[in-house]
Amino acid sequence: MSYLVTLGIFISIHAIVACGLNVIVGYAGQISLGHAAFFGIGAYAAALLATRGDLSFWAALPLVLLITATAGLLLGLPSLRVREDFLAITTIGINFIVESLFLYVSFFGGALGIGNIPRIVLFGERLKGPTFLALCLFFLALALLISWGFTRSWAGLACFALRDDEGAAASMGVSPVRFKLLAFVLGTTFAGLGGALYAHHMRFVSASDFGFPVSVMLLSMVVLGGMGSLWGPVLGALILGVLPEIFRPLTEYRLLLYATLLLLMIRFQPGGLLGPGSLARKLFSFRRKGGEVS
Amino acid sequence: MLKVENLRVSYGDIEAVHGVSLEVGPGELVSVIGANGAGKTSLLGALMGWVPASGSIVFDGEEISSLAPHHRARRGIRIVPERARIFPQLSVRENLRAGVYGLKIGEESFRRRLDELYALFPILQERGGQLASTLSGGEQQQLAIARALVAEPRLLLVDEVSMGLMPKLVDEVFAVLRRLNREKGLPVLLVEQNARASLAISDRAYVLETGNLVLSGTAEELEHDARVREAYLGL
Repeated sequence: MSYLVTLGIFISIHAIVACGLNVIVGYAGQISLGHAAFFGIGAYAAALLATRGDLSFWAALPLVLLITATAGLLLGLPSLRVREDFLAITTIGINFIVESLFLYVSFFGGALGIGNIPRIVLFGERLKGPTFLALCLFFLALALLISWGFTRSWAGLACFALRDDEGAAASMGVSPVRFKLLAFVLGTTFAGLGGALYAHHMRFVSASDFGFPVSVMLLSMVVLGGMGSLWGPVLGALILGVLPEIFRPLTEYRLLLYATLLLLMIRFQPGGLLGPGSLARKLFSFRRKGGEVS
Repeated sequence: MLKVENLRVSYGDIEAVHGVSLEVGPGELVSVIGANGAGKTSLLGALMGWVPASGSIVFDGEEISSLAPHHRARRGIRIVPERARIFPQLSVRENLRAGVYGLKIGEESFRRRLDELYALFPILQERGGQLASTLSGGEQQQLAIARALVAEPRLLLVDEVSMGLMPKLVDEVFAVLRRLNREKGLPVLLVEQNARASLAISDRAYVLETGNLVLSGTAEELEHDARVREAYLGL
Protein backbone atom coordinates (compact mmCIF):
# COMPACT_ATOMS: atom_id res chain seq x y z
CA MET A 1 0.00 0.00 0.00
CA SER A 2 2.64 2.53 1.00
CA TYR A 3 4.59 1.43 -2.06
CA LEU A 4 1.66 2.36 -4.27
CA VAL A 5 1.26 5.68 -2.45
CA THR A 6 4.93 6.49 -3.00
CA LEU A 7 4.60 5.57 -6.66
CA GLY A 8 1.53 7.79 -6.87
CA ILE A 9 3.44 10.69 -5.32
CA PHE A 10 6.27 10.39 -7.84
CA ILE A 11 3.84 10.13 -10.70
CA SER A 12 1.86 13.21 -9.63
CA ILE A 13 4.99 15.29 -9.07
CA HIS A 14 6.35 14.28 -12.48
CA ALA A 15 2.95 14.99 -14.00
CA ILE A 16 3.00 18.55 -12.60
CA VAL A 17 6.49 19.14 -13.99
CA ALA A 18 5.55 17.54 -17.33
CA CYS A 19 2.46 19.80 -17.51
CA GLY A 20 4.87 22.72 -17.29
CA LEU A 21 7.02 21.29 -20.06
CA ASN A 22 3.87 20.78 -22.10
CA VAL A 23 3.15 24.52 -21.92
CA ILE A 24 6.60 25.21 -23.38
CA VAL A 25 6.83 22.38 -25.91
CA GLY A 26 3.22 21.54 -26.64
CA TYR A 27 1.55 24.94 -26.48
CA ALA A 28 4.30 27.31 -27.59
CA GLY A 29 6.26 24.83 -29.73
CA GLN A 30 9.64 25.57 -28.13
CA ILE A 31 11.73 22.49 -27.58
CA SER A 32 13.32 22.22 -24.13
CA LEU A 33 15.72 19.49 -23.12
CA GLY A 34 16.67 21.21 -19.89
CA HIS A 35 13.42 21.22 -17.96
CA ALA A 36 14.95 19.24 -15.08
CA ALA A 37 17.13 22.28 -14.33
CA PHE A 38 14.05 24.23 -13.27
CA PHE A 39 12.67 21.22 -11.42
CA GLY A 40 15.98 21.31 -9.56
CA ILE A 41 15.95 25.06 -8.99
CA GLY A 42 12.51 24.70 -7.39
CA ALA A 43 13.65 21.78 -5.25
CA TYR A 44 16.85 23.49 -4.08
CA ALA A 45 15.04 26.76 -3.41
CA ALA A 46 12.47 24.92 -1.28
CA ALA A 47 15.17 22.90 0.47
CA LEU A 48 17.28 25.95 1.31
CA LEU A 49 14.34 28.06 2.44
CA ALA A 50 13.08 25.23 4.66
CA THR A 51 16.42 24.28 6.22
CA ARG A 52 18.50 27.44 6.37
CA GLY A 53 15.66 29.91 6.00
CA ASP A 54 13.52 28.13 8.58
CA LEU A 55 10.41 28.92 6.57
CA SER A 56 7.41 26.63 6.45
CA PHE A 57 6.56 25.08 3.07
CA TRP A 58 3.60 27.45 2.74
CA ALA A 59 5.58 30.58 3.52
CA ALA A 60 8.36 29.48 1.21
CA LEU A 61 6.17 28.37 -1.71
CA PRO A 62 5.51 31.86 -3.17
CA LEU A 63 9.25 32.57 -2.94
CA VAL A 64 10.10 29.25 -4.59
CA LEU A 65 7.73 29.99 -7.44
CA LEU A 66 9.12 33.49 -7.80
CA ILE A 67 12.69 32.19 -7.85
CA THR A 68 11.97 29.57 -10.53
CA ALA A 69 9.95 32.03 -12.59
CA THR A 70 12.81 34.53 -12.43
CA ALA A 71 15.31 31.84 -13.38
CA GLY A 72 13.02 30.88 -16.26
CA LEU A 73 12.84 34.49 -17.38
CA LEU A 74 16.58 35.12 -17.18
CA LEU A 75 17.55 31.85 -18.86
CA GLY A 76 14.67 31.96 -21.34
CA LEU A 77 15.45 35.44 -22.62
CA PRO A 78 18.73 34.50 -24.32
CA SER A 79 17.70 30.91 -25.16
CA LEU A 80 14.50 31.74 -26.98
CA ARG A 81 16.40 33.85 -29.48
CA VAL A 82 17.61 30.63 -31.06
CA ARG A 83 15.35 28.04 -32.65
CA GLU A 84 14.83 24.32 -32.96
CA ASP A 85 18.08 22.29 -32.83
CA PHE A 86 19.95 25.26 -31.40
CA LEU A 87 17.31 25.76 -28.73
CA ALA A 88 17.52 22.05 -27.86
CA ILE A 89 21.29 22.30 -27.45
CA THR A 90 21.06 25.55 -25.47
CA THR A 91 18.57 24.05 -23.04
CA ILE A 92 20.74 20.95 -22.62
CA GLY A 93 23.56 23.33 -21.78
CA ILE A 94 21.43 25.09 -19.18
CA ASN A 95 20.67 21.73 -17.60
CA PHE A 96 24.35 20.82 -17.26
CA ILE A 97 25.34 24.24 -15.96
CA VAL A 98 22.61 24.29 -13.30
CA GLU A 99 23.42 20.73 -12.27
CA SER A 100 27.11 21.53 -11.86
CA LEU A 101 26.33 24.68 -9.88
CA PHE A 102 24.37 22.52 -7.44
CA LEU A 103 27.20 20.02 -7.37
CA TYR A 104 30.21 22.30 -7.02
CA VAL A 105 29.00 25.38 -5.15
CA SER A 106 29.18 24.72 -1.44
CA PHE A 107 26.19 26.98 -0.76
CA PHE A 108 24.07 24.28 -2.40
CA GLY A 109 25.57 21.54 -0.26
CA GLY A 110 27.98 20.30 -2.91
CA ALA A 111 28.11 16.58 -3.49
CA LEU A 112 26.35 15.95 -0.19
CA GLY A 113 23.22 17.76 -1.30
CA ILE A 114 20.80 19.17 1.24
CA GLY A 115 19.21 16.93 3.84
CA ASN A 116 16.91 17.24 6.83
CA ILE A 117 14.16 18.91 4.88
CA PRO A 118 11.11 18.95 7.17
CA ARG A 119 7.77 17.50 6.20
CA ILE A 120 4.99 19.80 5.09
CA VAL A 121 2.62 20.74 7.91
CA LEU A 122 -1.04 21.40 7.10
CA PHE A 123 -3.69 22.05 9.78
CA GLY A 124 -1.19 21.01 12.43
CA GLU A 125 -0.62 17.68 10.76
CA ARG A 126 2.66 16.57 9.22
CA LEU A 127 1.87 15.27 5.76
CA LYS A 128 3.22 11.91 4.72
CA GLY A 129 1.96 8.95 2.71
CA PRO A 130 -1.66 9.29 1.64
CA THR A 131 -2.11 12.85 2.92
CA PHE A 132 0.99 13.98 1.04
CA LEU A 133 -0.31 12.22 -2.06
CA ALA A 134 -3.57 14.12 -1.65
CA LEU A 135 -1.62 17.39 -1.53
CA CYS A 136 0.28 16.44 -4.69
CA LEU A 137 -2.96 15.54 -6.45
CA PHE A 138 -4.43 18.87 -5.37
CA PHE A 139 -1.50 20.72 -6.92
CA LEU A 140 -1.72 18.56 -10.04
CA ALA A 141 -5.38 19.49 -10.39
CA LEU A 142 -4.39 23.13 -9.99
CA ALA A 143 -1.71 22.77 -12.67
CA LEU A 144 -4.24 21.19 -15.03
CA LEU A 145 -6.76 23.92 -14.31
CA ILE A 146 -4.21 26.63 -15.05
CA SER A 147 -3.14 24.80 -18.24
CA TRP A 148 -6.75 24.54 -19.32
CA GLY A 149 -7.39 28.20 -18.58
CA PHE A 150 -4.26 29.09 -20.52
CA THR A 151 -5.45 27.21 -23.62
CA ARG A 152 -8.72 29.14 -23.49
CA SER A 153 -7.06 32.55 -23.18
CA TRP A 154 -5.76 35.01 -25.76
CA ALA A 155 -2.25 34.25 -24.55
CA GLY A 156 -2.87 30.57 -25.24
CA LEU A 157 -4.17 31.28 -28.74
CA ALA A 158 -1.15 33.51 -29.39
CA CYS A 159 1.18 30.67 -28.32
CA PHE A 160 -0.63 28.12 -30.49
CA ALA A 161 -0.38 30.47 -33.46
CA LEU A 162 3.35 30.93 -32.83
CA ARG A 163 3.84 27.19 -32.61
CA ASP A 164 2.06 26.62 -35.92
CA ASP A 165 3.67 29.46 -37.88
CA GLU A 166 5.76 32.08 -36.15
CA GLY A 167 5.89 34.46 -39.10
CA ALA A 168 2.18 34.31 -39.76
CA ALA A 169 1.44 34.84 -36.06
CA ALA A 170 3.70 37.88 -35.99
CA SER A 171 1.89 39.27 -39.03
CA MET A 172 -1.24 39.25 -36.87
CA GLY A 173 0.35 41.32 -34.14
CA VAL A 174 1.56 38.49 -31.89
CA SER A 175 4.95 39.32 -30.38
CA PRO A 176 7.00 36.11 -30.71
CA VAL A 177 9.47 36.96 -27.94
CA ARG A 178 6.81 37.94 -25.44
CA PHE A 179 4.71 34.81 -25.77
CA LYS A 180 7.58 32.35 -26.02
CA LEU A 181 8.89 33.89 -22.83
CA LEU A 182 5.48 33.80 -21.16
CA ALA A 183 5.10 30.10 -21.95
CA PHE A 184 8.65 29.44 -20.77
CA VAL A 185 8.12 31.25 -17.48
CA LEU A 186 4.77 29.55 -16.84
CA GLY A 187 6.28 26.17 -17.67
CA THR A 188 9.29 26.67 -15.43
CA THR A 189 7.05 27.85 -12.59
CA PHE A 190 5.18 24.53 -12.76
CA ALA A 191 8.58 22.81 -12.59
CA GLY A 192 9.37 24.87 -9.50
CA LEU A 193 6.17 23.74 -7.83
CA GLY A 194 6.98 20.12 -8.63
CA GLY A 195 10.49 20.66 -7.29
CA ALA A 196 9.23 22.02 -3.98
CA LEU A 197 6.96 19.00 -3.52
CA TYR A 198 9.81 16.70 -4.48
CA ALA A 199 12.15 18.27 -1.90
CA HIS A 200 9.64 17.89 0.91
CA HIS A 201 8.83 14.34 -0.12
CA MET A 202 12.40 13.06 -0.42
CA ARG A 203 13.51 15.33 2.43
CA PHE A 204 16.88 15.26 0.73
CA VAL A 205 17.98 16.71 -2.59
CA SER A 206 21.16 16.24 -4.58
CA ALA A 207 22.31 17.52 -7.94
CA SER A 208 22.04 14.21 -9.79
CA ASP A 209 18.28 14.13 -9.15
CA PHE A 210 17.95 16.88 -11.73
CA GLY A 211 20.37 15.82 -14.44
CA PHE A 212 19.92 15.62 -18.17
CA PRO A 213 18.37 12.09 -18.10
CA VAL A 214 15.52 13.54 -16.02
CA SER A 215 14.91 16.14 -18.74
CA VAL A 216 14.80 13.36 -21.32
CA MET A 217 12.33 11.44 -19.17
CA LEU A 218 10.11 14.53 -18.80
CA LEU A 219 10.17 15.20 -22.53
CA SER A 220 9.37 11.53 -23.17
CA MET A 221 6.33 11.87 -20.91
CA VAL A 222 5.05 14.86 -22.87
CA VAL A 223 5.70 13.29 -26.27
CA LEU A 224 4.23 9.95 -25.24
CA GLY A 225 1.06 11.44 -23.80
CA GLY A 226 0.59 13.94 -26.59
CA MET A 227 2.20 17.35 -26.97
CA GLY A 228 -0.26 20.16 -26.59
CA SER A 229 -3.05 18.03 -25.14
CA LEU A 230 -4.29 18.76 -21.62
CA TRP A 231 -4.12 15.25 -20.16
CA GLY A 232 -1.23 14.01 -22.28
CA PRO A 233 1.54 14.82 -19.76
CA VAL A 234 -0.44 13.14 -16.97
CA LEU A 235 -0.90 9.97 -19.01
CA GLY A 236 2.76 10.09 -20.02
CA ALA A 237 3.87 10.47 -16.40
CA LEU A 238 1.59 7.60 -15.40
CA ILE A 239 2.86 5.22 -18.06
CA LEU A 240 6.53 6.10 -17.65
CA GLY A 241 6.07 5.95 -13.87
CA VAL A 242 4.44 2.53 -13.83
CA LEU A 243 6.33 0.76 -16.64
CA PRO A 244 9.77 0.81 -14.96
CA GLU A 245 8.15 -0.63 -11.83
CA ILE A 246 6.61 -3.50 -13.75
CA PHE A 247 9.83 -4.12 -15.62
CA ARG A 248 12.01 -3.66 -12.58
CA PRO A 249 14.29 -6.57 -13.52
CA LEU A 250 15.10 -4.61 -16.67
CA THR A 251 16.20 -1.44 -14.85
CA GLU A 252 19.48 -1.50 -16.71
CA TYR A 253 17.58 -1.07 -19.93
CA ARG A 254 15.41 1.82 -18.83
CA LEU A 255 16.94 4.34 -21.24
CA LEU A 256 16.63 1.80 -24.04
CA LEU A 257 12.96 1.49 -23.18
CA TYR A 258 12.47 5.28 -23.36
CA ALA A 259 14.24 5.43 -26.70
CA THR A 260 12.19 2.57 -28.13
CA LEU A 261 8.97 4.10 -26.88
CA LEU A 262 9.84 7.49 -28.36
CA LEU A 263 10.72 5.95 -31.72
CA LEU A 264 7.53 3.90 -31.78
CA MET A 265 5.50 6.97 -30.90
CA ILE A 266 7.13 9.08 -33.59
CA ARG A 267 6.58 6.31 -36.13
CA PHE A 268 3.01 5.37 -35.30
CA GLN A 269 1.43 8.14 -33.22
CA PRO A 270 3.38 11.34 -33.81
CA GLY A 271 0.72 13.37 -32.02
CA GLY A 272 1.10 11.28 -28.85
CA LEU A 273 -1.46 9.00 -27.23
CA LEU A 274 -3.94 11.81 -26.69
CA GLY A 275 -2.92 14.09 -29.54
CA PRO A 276 -5.03 15.01 -32.54
CA GLY A 277 -5.42 12.09 -34.92
CA SER A 278 -4.38 9.56 -32.28
CA LEU A 279 -5.96 6.14 -31.93
CA ALA A 280 -7.52 7.08 -28.59
CA ARG A 281 -9.11 10.20 -30.07
CA LYS A 282 -10.48 8.25 -33.03
CA LEU A 283 -11.99 5.54 -30.81
CA PHE A 284 -13.50 8.14 -28.54
CA SER A 285 -15.01 10.20 -31.34
CA PHE A 286 -16.25 6.98 -32.95
CA ARG A 287 -18.19 6.19 -29.79
CA ARG A 288 -19.57 9.71 -29.70
CA LYS A 289 -20.70 9.64 -33.30
CA GLY A 290 -24.34 9.95 -34.02
CA GLY A 291 -24.43 13.26 -32.23
CA GLU A 292 -23.18 16.45 -33.78
CA VAL A 293 -19.92 16.53 -35.64
CA SER A 294 -17.18 18.58 -33.97
CA MET B 1 -0.87 55.51 -47.59
CA LEU B 2 2.17 53.36 -48.39
CA LYS B 3 5.32 54.78 -49.94
CA VAL B 4 8.28 52.55 -50.59
CA GLU B 5 11.60 53.96 -51.68
CA ASN B 6 14.71 52.20 -52.88
CA LEU B 7 13.81 48.92 -51.19
CA ARG B 8 16.51 46.28 -51.38
CA VAL B 9 16.25 42.68 -50.20
CA SER B 10 19.27 40.41 -50.02
CA TYR B 11 19.74 36.83 -48.98
CA GLY B 12 23.42 36.55 -48.18
CA ASP B 13 25.30 37.62 -51.29
CA ILE B 14 22.29 37.41 -53.55
CA GLU B 15 20.15 40.50 -53.95
CA ALA B 16 16.57 39.58 -54.85
CA VAL B 17 15.06 43.07 -54.97
CA HIS B 18 17.23 45.87 -56.32
CA GLY B 19 15.99 49.18 -55.09
CA VAL B 20 12.27 49.18 -55.74
CA SER B 21 10.14 52.28 -55.26
CA LEU B 22 6.38 52.14 -55.35
CA GLU B 23 3.32 53.72 -53.86
CA VAL B 24 -0.21 52.75 -52.84
CA GLY B 25 -2.56 55.69 -52.39
CA PRO B 26 -5.61 55.78 -50.11
CA GLY B 27 -8.35 53.55 -51.48
CA GLU B 28 -6.16 52.32 -54.30
CA LEU B 29 -5.86 48.78 -55.60
CA VAL B 30 -2.37 48.34 -56.97
CA SER B 31 -0.83 45.21 -58.38
CA VAL B 32 2.72 44.13 -58.97
CA ILE B 33 2.91 41.55 -61.73
CA GLY B 34 5.90 39.41 -62.41
CA ALA B 35 7.03 35.91 -63.26
CA ASN B 36 8.41 33.26 -60.92
CA GLY B 37 11.52 34.46 -59.17
CA ALA B 38 10.96 38.11 -60.04
CA GLY B 39 11.11 38.98 -56.32
CA LYS B 40 7.40 39.43 -55.68
CA THR B 41 7.29 37.42 -52.46
CA SER B 42 10.54 39.01 -51.25
CA LEU B 43 9.00 42.41 -51.84
CA LEU B 44 5.90 41.66 -49.77
CA GLY B 45 7.99 39.86 -47.16
CA ALA B 46 10.06 43.01 -46.79
CA LEU B 47 6.93 45.15 -46.43
CA MET B 48 5.60 42.86 -43.67
CA GLY B 49 9.02 42.74 -42.01
CA TRP B 50 9.60 39.03 -42.54
CA VAL B 51 12.79 39.44 -44.49
CA PRO B 52 15.49 41.99 -43.71
CA ALA B 53 15.59 44.85 -46.19
CA SER B 54 17.11 48.26 -46.62
CA GLY B 55 15.39 51.34 -47.94
CA SER B 56 12.45 53.32 -46.73
CA ILE B 57 8.91 52.15 -46.07
CA VAL B 58 6.52 54.88 -45.00
CA PHE B 59 3.05 53.81 -43.93
CA ASP B 60 0.57 56.50 -43.02
CA GLY B 61 3.34 59.06 -42.68
CA GLU B 62 5.40 56.87 -40.37
CA GLU B 63 8.69 55.22 -41.23
CA ILE B 64 8.11 51.54 -40.41
CA SER B 65 11.13 49.89 -42.01
CA SER B 66 12.79 49.25 -38.65
CA LEU B 67 9.67 47.83 -36.97
CA ALA B 68 9.20 44.13 -36.22
CA PRO B 69 6.36 42.37 -38.09
CA HIS B 70 4.02 42.41 -35.09
CA HIS B 71 4.40 46.16 -34.72
CA ARG B 72 3.58 46.66 -38.39
CA ALA B 73 0.54 44.43 -37.93
CA ARG B 74 -0.63 46.58 -35.03
CA ARG B 75 -0.58 49.60 -37.32
CA GLY B 76 -3.17 47.85 -39.47
CA ILE B 77 -1.15 46.04 -42.11
CA ARG B 78 -2.31 42.52 -42.90
CA ILE B 79 -0.99 39.99 -45.37
CA VAL B 80 -2.47 37.04 -47.22
CA PRO B 81 0.77 35.08 -47.48
CA GLU B 82 1.97 32.92 -50.31
CA ARG B 83 0.64 29.36 -49.79
CA ALA B 84 -1.83 30.67 -47.19
CA ARG B 85 0.23 29.78 -44.08
CA ILE B 86 -2.85 29.08 -41.98
CA PHE B 87 -2.36 27.61 -38.49
CA PRO B 88 -2.77 23.88 -39.25
CA GLN B 89 -3.33 22.62 -35.71
CA LEU B 90 -6.01 25.19 -34.94
CA SER B 91 -9.62 25.00 -36.02
CA VAL B 92 -10.92 27.24 -38.77
CA ARG B 93 -12.67 29.41 -36.20
CA GLU B 94 -9.55 29.66 -34.03
CA ASN B 95 -7.59 30.75 -37.08
CA LEU B 96 -10.07 33.55 -37.59
CA ARG B 97 -9.96 34.48 -33.93
CA ALA B 98 -6.18 34.70 -34.13
CA GLY B 99 -6.79 37.24 -36.90
CA VAL B 100 -8.29 39.70 -34.43
CA TYR B 101 -5.64 39.13 -31.76
CA GLY B 102 -5.03 42.29 -29.76
CA LEU B 103 -7.84 44.27 -31.39
CA LYS B 104 -10.20 44.49 -28.38
CA ILE B 105 -13.26 44.48 -30.59
CA GLY B 106 -15.61 42.52 -28.34
CA GLU B 107 -17.39 39.28 -29.02
CA GLU B 108 -20.37 40.86 -30.72
CA SER B 109 -18.55 42.77 -33.39
CA PHE B 110 -16.26 39.76 -33.92
CA ARG B 111 -19.35 37.70 -34.69
CA ARG B 112 -20.68 40.36 -37.01
CA ARG B 113 -17.41 40.38 -38.93
CA LEU B 114 -17.50 36.59 -39.08
CA ASP B 115 -21.00 36.66 -40.54
CA GLU B 116 -19.85 39.07 -43.24
CA LEU B 117 -16.93 36.81 -44.11
CA TYR B 118 -19.04 33.66 -44.02
CA ALA B 119 -21.28 35.30 -46.60
CA LEU B 120 -18.21 35.65 -48.83
CA PHE B 121 -16.73 32.24 -48.03
CA PRO B 122 -19.55 29.93 -46.89
CA ILE B 123 -17.22 26.94 -46.72
CA LEU B 124 -15.46 28.49 -43.71
CA GLN B 125 -18.65 28.46 -41.69
CA GLU B 126 -19.36 24.89 -42.70
CA ARG B 127 -15.84 23.83 -41.65
CA GLY B 128 -15.69 26.12 -38.59
CA GLY B 129 -14.85 23.43 -36.05
CA GLN B 130 -12.51 21.46 -38.28
CA LEU B 131 -8.73 21.59 -38.01
CA ALA B 132 -7.42 23.96 -40.64
CA SER B 133 -4.98 21.30 -41.82
CA THR B 134 -7.94 19.26 -43.11
CA LEU B 135 -8.94 22.01 -45.56
CA SER B 136 -8.09 21.73 -49.24
CA GLY B 137 -5.56 24.14 -50.75
CA GLY B 138 -8.26 26.41 -52.10
CA GLU B 139 -10.12 26.43 -48.79
CA GLN B 140 -6.91 27.28 -46.94
CA GLN B 141 -6.43 30.20 -49.32
CA GLN B 142 -9.94 31.43 -48.49
CA LEU B 143 -9.21 31.05 -44.79
CA ALA B 144 -6.02 33.08 -45.18
CA ILE B 145 -7.97 35.86 -46.86
CA ALA B 146 -10.69 35.81 -44.22
CA ARG B 147 -8.08 35.74 -41.44
CA ALA B 148 -6.54 38.91 -42.86
CA LEU B 149 -9.87 40.64 -43.53
CA VAL B 150 -11.41 39.90 -40.15
CA ALA B 151 -9.00 42.44 -38.66
CA GLU B 152 -10.46 45.11 -40.97
CA PRO B 153 -6.96 46.11 -42.04
CA ARG B 154 -5.90 49.56 -43.18
CA LEU B 155 -3.67 48.06 -45.85
CA LEU B 156 -3.96 44.59 -47.31
CA LEU B 157 -1.00 42.83 -48.91
CA VAL B 158 -1.93 39.84 -51.07
CA ASP B 159 0.69 37.37 -52.27
CA GLU B 160 -0.21 35.20 -55.27
CA VAL B 161 -3.68 34.40 -54.06
CA SER B 162 -4.56 32.92 -57.44
CA MET B 163 -1.99 30.16 -56.99
CA GLY B 164 -3.67 26.87 -56.13
CA LEU B 165 -7.16 28.24 -56.55
CA MET B 166 -9.43 26.88 -59.22
CA PRO B 167 -10.13 29.45 -61.96
CA LYS B 168 -13.72 30.04 -60.90
CA LEU B 169 -12.56 30.83 -57.38
CA VAL B 170 -9.83 33.14 -58.62
CA ASP B 171 -12.48 35.30 -60.24
CA GLU B 172 -14.60 35.22 -57.10
CA VAL B 173 -11.73 36.10 -54.81
CA PHE B 174 -10.64 38.94 -57.07
CA ALA B 175 -14.20 40.20 -57.21
CA VAL B 176 -14.29 40.18 -53.40
CA LEU B 177 -11.05 42.16 -53.20
CA ARG B 178 -12.37 44.59 -55.76
CA ARG B 179 -15.59 45.09 -53.83
CA LEU B 180 -13.88 45.61 -50.49
CA ASN B 181 -11.59 48.09 -52.15
CA ARG B 182 -14.46 49.96 -53.80
CA GLU B 183 -17.01 49.83 -51.00
CA LYS B 184 -14.79 50.19 -47.96
CA GLY B 185 -11.91 52.02 -49.56
CA LEU B 186 -9.49 49.30 -48.45
CA PRO B 187 -6.07 49.89 -49.98
CA VAL B 188 -4.71 46.69 -51.52
CA LEU B 189 -1.29 45.77 -52.83
CA LEU B 190 -1.66 42.67 -54.94
CA VAL B 191 1.32 40.66 -56.08
CA GLU B 192 0.44 38.32 -58.92
CA GLN B 193 1.62 36.06 -61.69
CA ASN B 194 -1.87 36.07 -63.12
CA ALA B 195 -1.55 39.39 -64.95
CA ARG B 196 -4.86 39.19 -66.73
CA ALA B 197 -6.99 38.74 -63.61
CA SER B 198 -5.07 41.24 -61.51
CA LEU B 199 -4.95 43.98 -64.13
CA ALA B 200 -8.68 43.57 -64.61
CA ILE B 201 -9.37 44.75 -61.04
CA SER B 202 -6.44 47.12 -60.42
CA ASP B 203 -6.26 50.88 -60.61
CA ARG B 204 -2.55 50.89 -61.21
CA ALA B 205 0.13 48.29 -61.70
CA TYR B 206 3.86 47.76 -61.73
CA VAL B 207 5.83 45.12 -63.60
CA LEU B 208 8.61 43.46 -61.62
CA GLU B 209 11.38 41.66 -63.51
CA THR B 210 14.34 40.01 -61.73
CA GLY B 211 14.14 42.39 -58.82
CA ASN B 212 13.59 45.62 -60.77
CA LEU B 213 10.42 47.53 -61.50
CA VAL B 214 10.59 47.87 -65.26
CA LEU B 215 7.20 49.37 -66.01
CA SER B 216 4.38 51.13 -64.27
CA GLY B 217 1.14 52.79 -65.18
CA THR B 218 -2.59 52.53 -64.88
CA ALA B 219 -3.98 49.05 -65.29
CA GLU B 220 -5.47 50.09 -68.58
CA GLU B 221 -2.18 51.41 -69.94
CA LEU B 222 -0.42 48.20 -69.02
CA GLU B 223 -3.13 46.03 -70.52
CA HIS B 224 -2.44 47.75 -73.82
CA ASP B 225 1.32 47.84 -73.49
CA ALA B 226 2.96 45.75 -76.16
CA ARG B 227 5.61 44.27 -73.85
CA VAL B 228 3.05 43.32 -71.19
CA ARG B 229 0.74 41.83 -73.78
CA GLU B 230 3.48 39.66 -75.11
CA ALA B 231 5.23 38.65 -71.91
CA TYR B 232 2.36 38.39 -69.43
CA LEU B 233 -0.90 38.20 -71.26
CA GLY B 234 0.26 35.85 -74.01
CA LEU B 235 -1.28 37.94 -76.75
